[in-house]
Amino acid sequence: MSVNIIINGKKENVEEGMSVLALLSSRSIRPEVVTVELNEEILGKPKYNETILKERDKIEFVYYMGGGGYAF
Amino acid sequence: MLTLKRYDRDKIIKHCVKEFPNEACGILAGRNGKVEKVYEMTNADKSAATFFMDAKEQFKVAKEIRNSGLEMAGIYHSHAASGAYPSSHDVEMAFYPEASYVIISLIDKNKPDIKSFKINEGRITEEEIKVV
Repeated sequence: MSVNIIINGKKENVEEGMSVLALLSSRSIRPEVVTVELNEEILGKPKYNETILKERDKIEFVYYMGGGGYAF
Repeated sequence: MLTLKRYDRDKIIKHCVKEFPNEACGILAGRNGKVEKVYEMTNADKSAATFFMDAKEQFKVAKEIRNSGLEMAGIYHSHAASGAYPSSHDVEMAFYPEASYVIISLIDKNKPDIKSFKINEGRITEEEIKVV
């Protein structure tokens, strides 16, 4: 069985019962360097493992964008 | 090669000078290395040594870029007191290998130095910026 969700704007099927953490892992995405939004709300990292993807969920993720000169 | 319109290059530099001494940051949207739109972003760190983009803004801009049929072409930020070259922290935080990482050095605020790089698995490669 699979569920239909939207990942970064694209319709996709994932296994029923898949968690957000498992989805990231399946795409070789390190959870510590991304922010995840589920249905327009930012999802805290502690919830990645316990949050199971449901039919018609809209999930977005962006990698951290940071850095800097450090010249002091 | 990254292609920037003169107006967009000037907009980026103006943003960096305005935020000085803090670092400024932004996202470049475009297609095939040609920048079509510049998004000025908030440096959540509000720091002269580091930048970190606000996540809510990132999502808003990512959706806008997607809905306009463009791609994220690059990320820019300023170095207030160091050269236009990726720092070790920049390299650690470079998670988009296809993107151009544009760095603007404001060591000489009257003559900002702007350079662009690709950063892939720790390897830094400078690329030409073509201003049109």
